[in-house]
Amino acid sequence: MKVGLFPTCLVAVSAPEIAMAARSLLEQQGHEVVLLEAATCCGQPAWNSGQRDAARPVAAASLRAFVDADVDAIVIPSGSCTAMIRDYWPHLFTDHATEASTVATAVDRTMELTEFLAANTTEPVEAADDTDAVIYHPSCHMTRLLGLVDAPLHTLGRSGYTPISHNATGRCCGFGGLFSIKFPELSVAMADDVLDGMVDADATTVTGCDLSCLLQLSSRAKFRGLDLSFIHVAQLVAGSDPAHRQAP
Amino acid sequence: MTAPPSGRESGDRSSFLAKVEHRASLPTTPHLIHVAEKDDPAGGVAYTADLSDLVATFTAAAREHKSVVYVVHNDAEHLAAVLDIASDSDVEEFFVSDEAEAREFGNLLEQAGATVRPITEPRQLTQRDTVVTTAVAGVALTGSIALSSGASGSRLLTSLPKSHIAIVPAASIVPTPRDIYQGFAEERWLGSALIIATGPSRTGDIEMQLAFGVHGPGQVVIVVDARP
Amino acid sequence: MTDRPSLRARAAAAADDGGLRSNLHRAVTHREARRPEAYAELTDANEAHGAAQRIRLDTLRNLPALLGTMADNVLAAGGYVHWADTGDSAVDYVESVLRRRNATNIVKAKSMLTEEIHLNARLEQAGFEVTETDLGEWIVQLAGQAPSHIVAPAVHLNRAEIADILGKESAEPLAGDVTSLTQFARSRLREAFLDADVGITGVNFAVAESGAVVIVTNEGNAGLTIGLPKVHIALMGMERIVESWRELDVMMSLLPRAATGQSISTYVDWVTGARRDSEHDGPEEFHLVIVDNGRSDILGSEYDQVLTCIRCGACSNVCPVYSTIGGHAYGSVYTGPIGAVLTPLLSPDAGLNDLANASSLCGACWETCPVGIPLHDLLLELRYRESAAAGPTERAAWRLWSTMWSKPSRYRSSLSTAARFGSVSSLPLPGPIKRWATGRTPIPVANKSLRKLWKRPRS
Repeated sequence: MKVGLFPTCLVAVSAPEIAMAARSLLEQQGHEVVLLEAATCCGQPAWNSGQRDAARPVAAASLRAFVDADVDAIVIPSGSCTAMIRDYWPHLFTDHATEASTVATAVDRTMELTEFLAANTTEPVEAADDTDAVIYHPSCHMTRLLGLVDAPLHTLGRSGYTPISHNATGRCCGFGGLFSIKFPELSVAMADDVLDGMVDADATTVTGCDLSCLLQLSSRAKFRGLDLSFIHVAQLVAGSDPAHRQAP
Repeated sequence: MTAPPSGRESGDRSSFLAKVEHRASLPTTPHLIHVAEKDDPAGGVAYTADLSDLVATFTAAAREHKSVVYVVHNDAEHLAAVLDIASDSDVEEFFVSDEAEAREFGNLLEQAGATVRPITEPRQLTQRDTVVTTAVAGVALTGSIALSSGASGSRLLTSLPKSHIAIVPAASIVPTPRDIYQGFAEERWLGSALIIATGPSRTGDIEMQLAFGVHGPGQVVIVVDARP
Repeated sequence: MTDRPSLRARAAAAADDGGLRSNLHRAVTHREARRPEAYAELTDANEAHGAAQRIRLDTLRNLPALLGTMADNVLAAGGYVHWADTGDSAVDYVESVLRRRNATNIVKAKSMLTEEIHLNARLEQAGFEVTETDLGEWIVQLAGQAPSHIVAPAVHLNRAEIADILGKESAEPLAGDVTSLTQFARSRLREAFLDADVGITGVNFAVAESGAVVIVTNEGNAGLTIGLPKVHIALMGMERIVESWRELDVMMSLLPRAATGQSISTYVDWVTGARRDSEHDGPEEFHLVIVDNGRSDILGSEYDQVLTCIRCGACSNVCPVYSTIGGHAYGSVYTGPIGAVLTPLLSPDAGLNDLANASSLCGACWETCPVGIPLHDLLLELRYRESAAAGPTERAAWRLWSTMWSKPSRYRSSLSTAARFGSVSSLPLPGPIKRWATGRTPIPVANKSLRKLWKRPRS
């Protein structure tokens, strides 16, 4: 298929290598990947702050990029942005005729990265003899809003990783967008609850589908001097040992 | 709306409800997590418990909720339960309510040497007393007993004392609380206060640690009468 | 306006309070351990939640008829009904009953509604003696504190703190173990019950077809509150009603499971009025006070669904914010996620509208709620409502962001500025970005543009 990658503003600003890794995984699955250069941001920061009039033009620009792109699917290496688009763009554009008419089609073609990879795999995951344990952080957007519980595990499994949980798995990392700076002490306390669970787990590498969660956790972990490293699923899988891997 | 004849209604029903009527009729878009496909959402909830043997399920559930349970199938077992209960050295006297089963139990307690008194003034029952009453029904799923202020004549018999001994006729045990709510609604047992009680009074308000006998009996003993 | 510290300050102070965090952690862990077992007793919990949601939504659409039927049934059985459009009307009515009955001593079973309308404070001001009888409520009453959780009012206190509070009530020294403290409460509150002239309760559910009010407790204090005094006054939020025993059963199969992981509360009291002629005890008068106090304004609005709440408190138990800061930081009688939505709606002038911001929108509340209230989305609606009150600086900042990021070329140039400065602070993002540094290392900024990386020739 021809796939348009929407990198997301956070990836573009902080870790563009995640987009590069996503391209690599999609190409390995046999797809042609184009970068949606005209797409900027999904508008979530403003939407979450109640600033819908500010969010709309930004989201509209990205929507236009989606609509104009000559691709079969739009793939996003972020659960949070995918949830914004899937769950909230229809509301954001309710009373705006131009966008309202195109948003449904655009949204229907949009998938989170592991969701897309899992949906386009033909063969089942084979159990590998020798796998690496990695702590998987299921983000709130991935699980509760998108219902994407299995897809990331599928992607990790095919690359020879065994995702493990800990006693705080499922708790929010405390990012919540601007919440992290409006209520910094509370946000950090929430991160600590998750990190305290991770520190007790049998692995020191943490992975997840949302850069926002990984940045929140890694910047707190570094501050505390914890022995944990953080890497996005796309980078982890793209960089994994080919000997342990099946096709994504 | 016509004014109620009783004089026991106050405030302005008509303007109160007119506003509610107006607001309730405005279009809303509920966010549905699960659209109940059932035609009848009020058709009750399904439980995983095995409800084929009501007495067995009741007994297990009641014990789980910290009631002491005797199941008596014949007069000998009934007497054995009486003797066991009568021999409880913590109890000075048993107060027995007026229902037939409770009175029968009381007579046997007396014959076994216990001090038994009728309940003349429920309000005077103290925190040290032990009371014997009949439950109007039992609930298998939860090990609960149903009580009626009409059947016993009192709202206080089963809440004031330290211990409550409840005689539950086996035939009165129904599968789930739903059957009791239906019974309450259909006035199967007349009474101004109908109660479903499950084990002793308890609280977890102090560090989530369970403590019993707060504002109700700290001990509940159930005698399931399964005699033919 | 109050001179209460800001919500951020209250949250920060609570997050920093190690004792509070540990008390909350204990409570939350205990509750969450029991809930799965209780839910496993249901064959299909999702179906049960769906049925409960449908029942509650239908109740709202049929509310006038249900309330009318309930009132008629209560009156027909000899009870009193008062329609209280406001909290003050409810309090005035209660006071009028107390005066007519020459009452002085009142006992209460726990009722969040009565806290909402400040009943205790008003009655005490008027010279009445009010004693809470739920152990947790009595403890916070003695301590002069507000309850900190909808279902477990004293969850923020540990045993030593409670022993201290109760110790002050005891003439003799009080042993600090749970049994001794509980037995002391039993004896002391028994005196209050026996002395009481009037018993006041809330209502978990009114059953319209039967004219019955259903009140649940684990302690049995509702039973004594409605059994000993000569008058029983029950106050209900107007939305706390079901049509019949069938709907009651569905709700009651979920309420204790969601609230405390129990299959059933220890006592379920179904009350249809004052004592009957054949009964030896019980109140002579039964009063039902139906309270609006702002609920009708929520009805039919975009927040309508919040009225389906059955006050189980499960949302608080799963909320990462609540379990970090506890209930008092919310500054309201309604705490946790439901409180963050309900408080700005019921009390828009209480200066608590920023409660909607104290959430990471994780959705755990919605996922847990037995009636599926989308609290996370309602918080977003509140934030939208509040955005109109944003100051000119904030609005200008958002306009700048919107202008910059709605055009790819401007967006790219803001990213390259950030890359040049190596910091996210230079992005046109409104908000106190400096506060990221509270306990966290800086967010890395890439020094290569994605476009350039993408266009690199591949080997």
